[in-house]
Amino acid sequence: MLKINQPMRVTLSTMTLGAGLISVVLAFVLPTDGMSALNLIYNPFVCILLMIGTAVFALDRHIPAWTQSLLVVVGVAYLMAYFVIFSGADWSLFYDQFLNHEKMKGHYHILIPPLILVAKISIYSCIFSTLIGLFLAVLRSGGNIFLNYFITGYVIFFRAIPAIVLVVLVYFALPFVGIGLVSTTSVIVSLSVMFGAYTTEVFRSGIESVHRTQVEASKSLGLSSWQTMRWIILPQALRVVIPPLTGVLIDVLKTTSIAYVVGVPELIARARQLEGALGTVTPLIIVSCLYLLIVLPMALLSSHLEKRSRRWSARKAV
Amino acid sequence: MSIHTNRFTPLWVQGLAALGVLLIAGWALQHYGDIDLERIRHIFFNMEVMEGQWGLLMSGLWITTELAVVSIILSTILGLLVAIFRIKENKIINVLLVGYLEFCRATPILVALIVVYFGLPFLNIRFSAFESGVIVIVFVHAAYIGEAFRSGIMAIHRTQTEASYALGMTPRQTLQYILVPQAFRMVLPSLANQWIGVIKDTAVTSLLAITELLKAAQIIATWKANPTPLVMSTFLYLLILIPLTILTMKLERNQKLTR
Repeated sequence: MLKINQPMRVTLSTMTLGAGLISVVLAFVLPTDGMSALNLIYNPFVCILLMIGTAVFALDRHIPAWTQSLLVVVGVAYLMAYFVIFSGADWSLFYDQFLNHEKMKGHYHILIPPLILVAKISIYSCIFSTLIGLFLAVLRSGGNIFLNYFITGYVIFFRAIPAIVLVVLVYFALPFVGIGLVSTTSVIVSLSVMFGAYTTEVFRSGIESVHRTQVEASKSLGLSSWQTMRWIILPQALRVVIPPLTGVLIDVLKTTSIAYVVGVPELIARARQLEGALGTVTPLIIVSCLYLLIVLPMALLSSHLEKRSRRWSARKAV
Repeated sequence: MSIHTNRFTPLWVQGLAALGVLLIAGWALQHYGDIDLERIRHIFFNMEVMEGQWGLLMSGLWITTELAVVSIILSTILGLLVAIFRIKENKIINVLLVGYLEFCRATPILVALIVVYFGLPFLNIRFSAFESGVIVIVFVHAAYIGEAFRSGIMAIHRTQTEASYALGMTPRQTLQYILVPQAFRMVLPSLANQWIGVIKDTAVTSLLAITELLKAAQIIATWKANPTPLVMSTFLYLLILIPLTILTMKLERNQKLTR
């Protein structure tokens, strides 16, 4: 293998950095008609070579941190410039198509009822799936072997089935046997049942994380098994459960978007109708931003909770 | 853990009770739910409907497999890259990558697919349905996979690295003989989970113009006015996914035991 010594490393990294910087600057400075010069810098081969060079040197631990940051920023900028120039996109259309306030004027309120509908679907699904999970996990800890087989089977089945397949099955197949659900209800039912499996797993691991001695102690104090569950195990389990539970609930929130498939008049469906009527994709962009706005705080919260719980468990281990 | 609600009830009594409950539930369903077994067979497992249609369904399965394999390979590679950059703990890189991760955690795959496939053409950026499926799935799942790799590598205690340095190993040897084998064991369950997620998310691409398994089933079901193809496609999905899910659950449990 080629041994790279320190001066050579510095030279090479500087060269990569310089080449990247120059090409990014050139990409924005040169007129787009001057494609001959651009082609040289932005041909795929050079692009890959530059990316590999950037990656290698960004990972090199002998290079100071600020150079690494700079390398990565330049690499990202280079890739973005590559995309902007060579995606064949007509960027002059960007404001017209993606952020067109003029055409959207007076149409924003159309997106409010579907937003409320989505909120309703997700709240119902969250509540029901949590209840199913809690119920089944408590039932499971009862220790009835046959019951446990059924619960495990339920968990495996609904962890394995793709959400969209389940929703389609419930909405399009069940009416043939006389169980015709309204599209909204069918989405709520399938999401609750499906994510019930996930929450069962979450609650089970929470209940299992409570130490055995707690149960034994409460038994010796004369508490009944229900009292043990209610007053000793669940309060301790719930604390453990909250971070992974938020993760599952975020998944529920995100998965409500598949209600679009069965014709629920929810955000995406309305946005696509508006898109057809107005001739701009702005509604779609607004809807994706709405999802981002709603789910992002929850995602941040969940990763914060996860980090905190990890810190707790680390402290406990020490 | 069980708190033994019924410690003194013999196992066979429990079994009988469970069976009894099941029988009663089944009877009630048939009695009050107006369920006719022959009719159910005719509706959900009607093999005459499927005659000559298996080809389309299987081609759908093949496309789903292609999509899943390509997405799994690409997202794992990208995720590994993300993880490698994350564990450098460089501030700017971390901010960029955490932003990317949170963005992906907050974006529903379906919304992203629709924006990429139906939205970007307005800017003259055109991807085929297959390409946009791969792009979106890889983009979103690479973030998760990167997080899985990172937490696996971070879970290895610092002292392991220090000890291997103290033994005179080079950084490369440390990575190869100490960190990667342990990280692999830590990462495998969550990685397998993500792969299952990728396979499941390929079903969402049925919205675009891809005749993958679900779409193929929907086409046949609409044509024949019978839900049998949907049931069959569900079986095919379950055939792939149930073994994987069981394997993952076993891996998760093993990991918990060894820890």
